[in-house]
Amino acid sequence: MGTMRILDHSGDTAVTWDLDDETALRAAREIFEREAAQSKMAFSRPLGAPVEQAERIRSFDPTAEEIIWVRPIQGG
Amino acid sequence: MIPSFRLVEDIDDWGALVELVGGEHHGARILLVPAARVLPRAVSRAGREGPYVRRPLRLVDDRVVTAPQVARAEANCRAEALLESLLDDEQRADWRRRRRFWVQTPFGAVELGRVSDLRFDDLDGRHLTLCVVPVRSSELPGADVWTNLLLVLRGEPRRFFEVANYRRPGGPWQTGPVPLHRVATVCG
Repeated sequence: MGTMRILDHSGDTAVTWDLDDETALRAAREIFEREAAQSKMAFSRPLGAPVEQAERIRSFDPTAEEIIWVRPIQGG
Repeated sequence: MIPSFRLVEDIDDWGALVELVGGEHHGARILLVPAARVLPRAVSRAGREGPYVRRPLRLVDDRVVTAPQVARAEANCRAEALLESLLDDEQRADWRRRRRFWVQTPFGAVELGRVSDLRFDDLDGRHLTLCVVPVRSSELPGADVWTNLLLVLRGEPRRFFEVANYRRPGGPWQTGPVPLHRVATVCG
């Protein structure tokens, strides 16, 4: 099962999918594309792994264990 | 009268979320008891060399909190847990001790943890102060801000230094990009 975590006011909102659940998979893919359209950045990591194992990804990977979405950044 | 309570979550330096058992307090079932109102968690030794035994929390006072406050506390917990899961042991210990931690990048080391006061030590030993934030960062729990910047430093470090505002010691703030003199080479 994969999990997508989108940083927000609640800490993060989690979206999960199973490879054999076509409906959940499609929904996860759509959410990925929606977040990408907002110029957010996605990182994939083995579930719970430290940042050294996180990789920037630009397309939805159904086999990813955990995807974390972060916001674009700006000078403060 | 509240018969008893059940500890939902004990948040270090923050307080305790407790659920009232068998009653409500001004309509609330969950209360947030700020850390300052929880008696110090005394520990006692069962025997001279025995293990420490944690005594139950004792509440000095309670305070009714609104649903948004509970939601905020839960958001903070989620954000803290996510951030800590990304840190290595040294960073995590640093974060818990002083709410800051260092991140190594190809351009030098950046210290995250204080908004508008990110220390940057470049590879030539120069020090700058940086200011970078996620878009609409005020919507995010504090720890999420650092998760956001930590991951950007991991995956898009050049982007981080392109947008950062910076200042030299004693100097005025300047808009990015940060002048970078040298990039670490990766061997092997």
